[in-house]
Amino acid sequence: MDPFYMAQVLVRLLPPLGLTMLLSLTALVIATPLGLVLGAWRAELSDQQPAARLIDTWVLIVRGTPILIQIFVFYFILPKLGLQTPLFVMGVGALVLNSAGYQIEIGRAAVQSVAKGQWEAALALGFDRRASLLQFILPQAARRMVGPVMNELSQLIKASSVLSVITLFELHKAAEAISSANLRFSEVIVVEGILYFVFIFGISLIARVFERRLSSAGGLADAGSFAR
Amino acid sequence: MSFDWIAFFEYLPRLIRASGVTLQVSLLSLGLACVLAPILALSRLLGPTLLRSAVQAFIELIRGLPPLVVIAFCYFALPKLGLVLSGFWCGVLALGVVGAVYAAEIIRSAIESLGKGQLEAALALGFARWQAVLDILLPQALRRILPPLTNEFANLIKASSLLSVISVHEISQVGQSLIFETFVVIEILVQMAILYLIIIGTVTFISRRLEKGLSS
Amino acid sequence: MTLLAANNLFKRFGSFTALDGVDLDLDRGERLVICGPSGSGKSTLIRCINRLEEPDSGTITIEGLPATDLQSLRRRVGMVFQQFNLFPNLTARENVAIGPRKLLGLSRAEADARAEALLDRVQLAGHADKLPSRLSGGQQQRVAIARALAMEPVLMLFDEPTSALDPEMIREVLDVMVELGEGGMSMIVVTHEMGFARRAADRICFMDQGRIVAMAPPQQFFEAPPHPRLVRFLENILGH
Ligand SMILES: Nc1ncnc2c1ncn2[C@@H]1O[C@H](COP(=O)(O)OP(=O)(O)O)[C@@H](O)[C@H]1O
Ligand SMILES: [Mg+2]
Repeated sequence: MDPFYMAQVLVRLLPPLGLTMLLSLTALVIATPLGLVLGAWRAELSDQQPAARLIDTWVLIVRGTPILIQIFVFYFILPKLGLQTPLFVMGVGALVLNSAGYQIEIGRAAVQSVAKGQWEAALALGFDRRASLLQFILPQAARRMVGPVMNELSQLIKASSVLSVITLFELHKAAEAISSANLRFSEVIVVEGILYFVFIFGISLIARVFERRLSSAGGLADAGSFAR
Repeated sequence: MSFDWIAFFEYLPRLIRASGVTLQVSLLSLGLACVLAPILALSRLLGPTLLRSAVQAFIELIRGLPPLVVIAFCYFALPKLGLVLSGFWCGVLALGVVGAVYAAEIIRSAIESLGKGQLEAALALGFARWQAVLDILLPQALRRILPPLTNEFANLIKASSLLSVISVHEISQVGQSLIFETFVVIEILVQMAILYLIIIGTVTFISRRLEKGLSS
Repeated sequence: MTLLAANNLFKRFGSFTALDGVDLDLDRGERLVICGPSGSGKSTLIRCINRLEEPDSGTITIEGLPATDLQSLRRRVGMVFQQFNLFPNLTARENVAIGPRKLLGLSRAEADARAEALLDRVQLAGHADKLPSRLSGGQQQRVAIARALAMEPVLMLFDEPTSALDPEMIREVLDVMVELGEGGMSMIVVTHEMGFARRAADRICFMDQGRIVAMAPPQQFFEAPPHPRLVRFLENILGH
């Protein structure tokens, strides 16, 4: 391991790291409200309703296939439909589709974790179900989502590495490019690993702090789930 | 853009063969994870301070990396350290380690979720700490561990798609090269999705059943 | 003058009959206490009155009219829960003000003024800006009473309002309820606080296995219990 060379690599990896963050954050900002709203809506629907079936199918497909396949769908099918999409947009699209599928479950669990008594208090005051949901249940559910959504950001950063497969020039792709040009794979991968780790571990620390602060009822974040 | 059934059935056998590789890699790494995970979890719970911190650091490290980076590390960096593995075994090693780390966290949090009361009751009876963990806590935790652990298996299968980048001939790699060879896009993508859905769906279904069965 | 008339209410949960033909009348300004063993259907009965449970059959009229619109019915009937069920993200004042503001169309200032007055009335004048988590159980329950009163209901329902409280806080909640009754509020109170029943109730009814098996004014209820099962219940609860 050559520290000088590694420092050089680090500098070259910073711009793609920025792109990775931008990509992941953009996807998060779009997918989170989508997931919360659809998840809350799903919690209110019975299993048989068409909208429920549609949401369930989305969740099933997103969770039941690797993100790589979902990325392929965007990468191969959009051009076939005659849509010339910039890679960045394509990447965000795939990540949003994927992330919302997971966040629907987060939103739904958060809504369902709000105590039944809260519904009853709102209904007993004379609010209808819709108003009760919007006025009282969703704000409480949203607080419980803070931890899981922070986790979701780390998941997205990890997932965005998969976009390197379709040559979207972000962190992992850049690392690959540098290492195949110079044939010094191991140093590049170690530097890349350090960068990922610093960010993802940092986010998970912040997520834990939020989790402790906001949800005395216990976090919803799961320890598991490493692959998309 | 119409769906070409002939092409669909022409390429299906190759992808079905590739599913065999996907399953093999996933099962082998699951096996490795099942061996490593309890070791990691127990040394984090019971080990001497130094070992505990080392294991914790290792767990945090792997959790902070995309699996793709771990795979790349095993493939590109391990040979420099003298360990040369084929793409297939490299994948088993990488996914096994990643899976083990997450499974270890599941085991640990299941044991910790039992609360202090159980541990204190066992210690008060005269159990040693390790005895209390092994004989009293672990059996109780097992029912909470099994469902998320099967779920982790589903994650391993999804992650095995990443092995396409180190040319392991599993579903994603075979599908991808078929697409580039034949330019048959939709039919092959549909096949890939369906095969994953079947495999992952089965595992998820088992996980749900376990969850229901064990909670009642 | 009859405020509430419930006739022949039935409610089943699966094969279990929680209400087995209940008739109940309440006059305006009357205070009724319901007691009975756990699982006898007390909660189910009062939850049917504001339709948090839907009875399988039977009729309920309030002020002579059957309820057509769920929300307007519930606005006229206040409910206080065993577990308080305050909205944890809102301060005491906001908990009380939100109903009038969102449902009765009061301005924020009007709703806040009403909330302040009610918090004053339940002895919580200085606590308006606190979140529920900063209040004791007794204080939370008094906020919950104020929250229900803010809708200016014609009838108040209480479902074991002191069962979740530490003994030293029961008194402060019961005092508020006694005062409310003396002020002319129509009330139905599910409780095992027999002291409260003796002090504040016009009638006490005893439920068992989904039926009302005894109903009498306090004096008669305690001194000449009109049903053998009630005799046993009173022996248990009063510790004779
Ligand atoms: N939502 C429900 N689903 C099934 N059973 C219920 C439900 N609510 C109440 N019950 C049953 O109905 C019976 C009466 O309940 P409840 O009215 O709460 O009794 P009480 O308030 O007198 O203790 C109980 O046996 C209870 O288990
Ligand atoms: Mg009850």
